[in-house]
Amino acid sequence: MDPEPSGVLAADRLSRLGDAVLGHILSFLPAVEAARASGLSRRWRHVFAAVHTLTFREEAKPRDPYSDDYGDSGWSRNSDDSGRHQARTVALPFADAVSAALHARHGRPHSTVSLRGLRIEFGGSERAASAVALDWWLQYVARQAAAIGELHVDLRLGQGPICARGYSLRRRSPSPPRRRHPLAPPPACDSPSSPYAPPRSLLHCAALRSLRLESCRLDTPGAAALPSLGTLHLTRVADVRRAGGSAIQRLVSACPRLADLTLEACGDLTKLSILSPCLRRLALNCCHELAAVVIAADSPELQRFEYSGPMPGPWFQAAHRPRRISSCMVNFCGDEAMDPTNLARLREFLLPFAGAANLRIKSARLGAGVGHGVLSSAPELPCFHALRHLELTGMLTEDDVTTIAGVAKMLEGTPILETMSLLFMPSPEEGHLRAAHKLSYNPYAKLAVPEGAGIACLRETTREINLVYYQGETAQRMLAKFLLGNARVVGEVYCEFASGPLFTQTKLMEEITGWVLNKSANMVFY
Amino acid sequence: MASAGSGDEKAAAAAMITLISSDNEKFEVTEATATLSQTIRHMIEDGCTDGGVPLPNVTSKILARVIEYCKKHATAAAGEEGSSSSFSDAAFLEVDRAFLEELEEFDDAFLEVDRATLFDLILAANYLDIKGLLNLTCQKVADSVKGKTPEQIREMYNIVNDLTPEEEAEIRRETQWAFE
Repeated sequence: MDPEPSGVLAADRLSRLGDAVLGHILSFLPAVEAARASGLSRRWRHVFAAVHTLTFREEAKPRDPYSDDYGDSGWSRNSDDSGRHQARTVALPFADAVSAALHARHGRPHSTVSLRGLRIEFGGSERAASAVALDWWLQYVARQAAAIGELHVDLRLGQGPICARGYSLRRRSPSPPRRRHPLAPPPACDSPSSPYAPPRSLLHCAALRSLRLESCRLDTPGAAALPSLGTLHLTRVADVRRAGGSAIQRLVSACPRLADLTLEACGDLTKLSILSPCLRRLALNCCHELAAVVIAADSPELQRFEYSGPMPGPWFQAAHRPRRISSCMVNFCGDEAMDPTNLARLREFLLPFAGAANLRIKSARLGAGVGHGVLSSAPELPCFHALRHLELTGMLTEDDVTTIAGVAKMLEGTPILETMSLLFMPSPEEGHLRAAHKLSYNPYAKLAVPEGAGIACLRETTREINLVYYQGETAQRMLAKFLLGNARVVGEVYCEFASGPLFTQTKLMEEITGWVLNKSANMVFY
Repeated sequence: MASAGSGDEKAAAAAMITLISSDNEKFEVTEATATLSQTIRHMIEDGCTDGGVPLPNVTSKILARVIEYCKKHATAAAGEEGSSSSFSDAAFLEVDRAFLEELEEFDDAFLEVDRATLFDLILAANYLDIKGLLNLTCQKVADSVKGKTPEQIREMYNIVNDLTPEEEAEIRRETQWAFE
């Protein structure tokens, strides 16, 4: 923002704005800063009462991500008392500050604006507020919201990782593929023994428009009722199953206007059915036990779908394909899937999203094992007739010819593809051996490239090809040669090399430049 | 309403609204553009827009900018219905990502104004009840004071501290929780 031209007394136009506008401005700030504004001048003294959204964010506590019992270590126990004492004198504990802020508003006699948003994010990995306090905060805002008909609640009680499954390839050996144990224990909920369950009044708040809960527990004996809820985001929420079924399911079922649903690391969830006809975005991230998803027969609005979890994903039951689907992002975490039945199901899993314009698939092996079926009978992917942007992320090592053939086959089903991006993940087992040197280039390897002249998109529509973290593995070179050597209308080629000697990078760059069929293409190397 | 945003000349011409600035300049806009303003929407619903809508609080310079904003956002608003708050990420649900990015770039460029214009835009957005524009402009002011000390904020916005030491102490007591 340009400063005011200096000269005759520049006017204080900010303070002349009305209370409602100033309250609105302060609502964008952390509650602590909004409250401190009271001391700017007499005009600002009561502006905090006009703030409609309070945001409290505790700074993340440093914590060793690899040790789960950090808090029980000898060091912590010895210094426990003095540490706590120190914390009290230095700053008010986070939870007490929230209570004090709400009390301050509560006790203010004149013209306090009703709260319509409350965001609270704790910095530690464990809950640091009593259930009584939490209940009071939520009941307080739920009661206030009834008057104005709008409420947004964001309560994150503990931080932690969403997914602990790393990516890895399995050696192609005759050993039988390991199946996921059907009764494997759900991933530990990263919260204390009894996570907090939000009160009934919040789950019956007719004004609630958006709700985000993290590290909580849903344990509603009766049915919830959230007629206005459009956005629901649950992270690490423990699902308590009772006679009436899963509590998460009951919450989702209680939202007839749900448009945006995100479920993350809800390890207890096994089945989900979404009946809202307004659903526009659905994200299921690492709810690893989720086996079946039902989407309402008349949910024509679904535009974005995101999935993270084991391959091949839950069974999808949608009576009709979502017609407006525009983007589909799939992330198969964990080990590479080699089970032929799983690979065969990949097609069924992706079928409802075949109308997407954007498709991203991330998996241990690039292309999610396309082409790696039993007896190399490639599990055919559906034809993505409307696909414009395709991004494949994964490892592609050695001379993995099967994957290349699989990708070629996939491109036959994408007639109007414009952008093709390949992100080559480094192989974890080699990473530590040559930390700084990730290139692997064998100039004598024979590059067996499939025939690609018949692929329509490469001939006519593909204008951009991106290669990211290119390591020069033989298979990567084959794939690059195949794409660049057949892409007749490509206008942009972008290649980012993995770290390594400049000499090798230059070799790889020269090689790529030589492959590009369309010599007028703009090439960027990084 | 949807057809008006699509650029179809005939359909759009059928629903034109005339806005009149405080300095008597007339602006012709489509109904889809105009109804981003809740104030004007209510006027249209009440059928009192014949002969133009006088906006005595908005100068032609500011109104032109406001209309520029509304035109750009009118198409995006069609799908967004009702999601007013900065909280909701309903904007992300829009079909075309490239369009969203373009919209964001537009907003960034739109905010490249001097402070006097920014305040005029806030007042206009508030008066016309254009939620998106009010959020955008207020967010800009909020960002400018974020992390600043009271003294820095006073200096930045020419705020004169007229509090007595007693009052300051009292405010500090009331907002004890906000100080470390």
